[in-house]
Amino acid sequence: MTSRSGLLRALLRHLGSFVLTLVGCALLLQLLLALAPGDAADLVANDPVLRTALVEQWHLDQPVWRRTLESLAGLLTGQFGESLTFRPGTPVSELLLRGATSSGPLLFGALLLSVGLGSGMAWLKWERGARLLSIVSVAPVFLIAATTTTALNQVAFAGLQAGWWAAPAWFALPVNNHPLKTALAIAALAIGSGAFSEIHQASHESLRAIRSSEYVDAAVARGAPLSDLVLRNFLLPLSAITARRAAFFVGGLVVIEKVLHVQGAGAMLWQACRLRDWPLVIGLSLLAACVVAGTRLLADMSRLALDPRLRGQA
Amino acid sequence: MSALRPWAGVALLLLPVLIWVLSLAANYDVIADVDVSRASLAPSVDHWLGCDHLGRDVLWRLITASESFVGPSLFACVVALVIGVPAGALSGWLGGLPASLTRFGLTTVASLPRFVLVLLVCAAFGNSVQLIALAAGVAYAPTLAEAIYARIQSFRHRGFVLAGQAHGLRSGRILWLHLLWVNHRRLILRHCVQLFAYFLLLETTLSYIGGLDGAGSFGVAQPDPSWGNMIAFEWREPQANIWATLAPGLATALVLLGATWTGRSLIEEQA
Amino acid sequence: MSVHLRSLRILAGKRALVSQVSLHILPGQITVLVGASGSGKTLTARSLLGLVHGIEPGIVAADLEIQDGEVIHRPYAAVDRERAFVPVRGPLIAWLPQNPRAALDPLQAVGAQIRDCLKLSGQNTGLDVAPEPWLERVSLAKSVGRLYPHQLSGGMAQRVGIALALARGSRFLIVDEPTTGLDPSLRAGILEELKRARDSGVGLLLITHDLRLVRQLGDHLLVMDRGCIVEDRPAQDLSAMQSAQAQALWQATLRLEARQ
Repeated sequence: MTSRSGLLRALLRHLGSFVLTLVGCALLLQLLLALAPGDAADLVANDPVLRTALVEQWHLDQPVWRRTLESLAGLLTGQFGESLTFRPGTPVSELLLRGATSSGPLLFGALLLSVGLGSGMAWLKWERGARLLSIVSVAPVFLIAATTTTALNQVAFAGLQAGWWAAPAWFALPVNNHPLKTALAIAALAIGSGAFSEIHQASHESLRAIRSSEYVDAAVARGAPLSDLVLRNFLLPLSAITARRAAFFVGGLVVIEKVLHVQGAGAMLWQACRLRDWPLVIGLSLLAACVVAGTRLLADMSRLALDPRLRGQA
Repeated sequence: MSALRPWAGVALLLLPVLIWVLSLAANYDVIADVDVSRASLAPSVDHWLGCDHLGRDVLWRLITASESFVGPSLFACVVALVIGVPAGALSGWLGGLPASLTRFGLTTVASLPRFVLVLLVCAAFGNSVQLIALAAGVAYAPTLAEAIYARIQSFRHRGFVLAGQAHGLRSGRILWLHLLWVNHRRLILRHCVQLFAYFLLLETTLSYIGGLDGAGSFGVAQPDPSWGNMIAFEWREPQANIWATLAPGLATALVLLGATWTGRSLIEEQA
Repeated sequence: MSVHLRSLRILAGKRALVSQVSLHILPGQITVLVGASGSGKTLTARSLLGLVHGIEPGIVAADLEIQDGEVIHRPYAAVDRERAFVPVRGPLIAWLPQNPRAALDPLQAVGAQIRDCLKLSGQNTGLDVAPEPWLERVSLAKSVGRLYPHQLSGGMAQRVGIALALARGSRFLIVDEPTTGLDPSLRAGILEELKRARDSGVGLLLITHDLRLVRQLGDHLLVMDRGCIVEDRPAQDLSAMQSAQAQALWQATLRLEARQ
């Protein structure tokens, strides 16, 4: 098979699996919610007449296949209907947009920071610093965020009492909005719950395998510079590592946004789950699946571009 | 130091299991144990870790809280094993269409972040630790299956497997005994340790946020003790006994550290 | 110009993997290092480039002397060995590891790798960094330059390895088991390339377990057994070898040939 048609096939396969995954997710979500013993109307109405009206108004009586089709259509058009109980009557698409704009920077900031830190420290062989951060990294995200905010508030309060400074703008974290809070959220997400230590460990191991490989030895023996060679070969495992962590960070968003009072998609999902606002839950979950599957697609594509072995056979 | 790490890890990991057994044996009623007269008491001989702001003994709550995650996380491990091992092993061994379908299903589940999936299950079916454990097990299964799939597939055409087939060994025996048990039991055990840690993380996180959130939220809710909701319960108390937040936080971090160390020591050299 | 390695000792724990090995490589000559598997041949070869790692211990003692005209390099005597090996690795000594395909960067096309070597060697500071002439020199088609290592056969990979060494312009070439796993016609082709390299003035150290190669192209013969050199002689008249181990190896080779 020629390399070009192999490449095309691989591209199509990855794209196809991306689309199929989203279809599968939509079906899974609808099935899950259809099997649920309660719905949003339970939270609102004790009155059977009102209940019937709500069920009709909220389309709670539609069959699963129809709802799946609707949510798939929603993926294409961005329309997932209206929110039921979270912000009654507001289009879900509007809420999704609002959530994504405040959560996006957190998510990608954390992804960049943790991959940068983890792989960078493995690359530079900062063993001691990495070991220290790995220990910190064991603590759950919520614990890191809560401890840091408390410590910062204590410091600010102590300084205030001692007359060193006027109350800083971020005083009373996490209630106040401040760039510091965003930075804190990104850092906690990037390091906590094992994120840093796992990325560092995986990078460290792939780098060690590359550095002790025959081709690196051969390059050393030729007196060739190594950084290009090692970097090129390291990008392959690194893209896989990054893609694997994406799902983890999307889940972590819920935690960090709840703990630090960020009005983003994650906190919205938690609230929507509490209020059984199914259209919003579906919209947010599919958004999460899009991000996860999209990152995986991106990683697969970049591996395809980098690695001739994947292009040849398909 | 680094030679001791695996043992320290196992010890830290077994600690909550021991505490769990102790707690089941003692069967102490922590819910009735309210005494406002000893609110926010500092550690003393009678109350080793002091009391929280409702005057409940912190140590007993710490011990009893193990019931909210040790048993369920073992249950989660069983769920993940029952789904993940056969799915990964069979799709790696058989290949073809069934394998593609199985892996597609697993990828689909894995495309929803685990935390989101657990939250959805809680929202749909009600908030109980057993349900969270079931959801966590299902959500973890794709990771386990994918790891096993990759290894079985790479071992599938190795010399010793082909030789075994040539000698007339049954495929089932080669797959379950030689491939899974002999060659990959460490891998499977490592994933169980990781899932155990993940469940602890999940349960404390849910209970912490649920504790901040108030009634009707997710996770283990007061007055039932959980390391997560103990932290949330005392966090904003101005006169709090500091051990009431520090102890569960430290306990969580230590068990997670133990799991990390144990997991590291179970990573085998890639064959 | 010549390479002299004297009194090399490599220990693993208390066990000596290589002890008291001395050898010389001279320009325009092929020195053949023969030995059974595990006799320490490859370790010896790697020590010439300061590449003994991966095993726990290291080189306990070695005196490596490389004469380059007036200049004499003694990298093991230097404080900073890594730096002392810089002028040795590449310009002076090149190395073709046992598995030629694994020694090529899997992500780069062959042509680009040869071009990198040419740039390194600095002999083509002008425009001419085209890999094609070097491919032709080792009897490969020009189109091979577009292939990636995983698309090469064993024989092709071996030739590419030789082309890389030639393009790097090294004065000495260490070749580790070049004919293992090749069929007789490919073998003959590779040996032909090595001979041509020798005739252009490159000094070769050829590592093999096959004594027959010595007769075909050797100038000097060394036989290693359990980490020691047991035979060190010109490559003519092999039946007159002194040591029992070398004789046994020779007799086995003769029997094998008689059977074939």
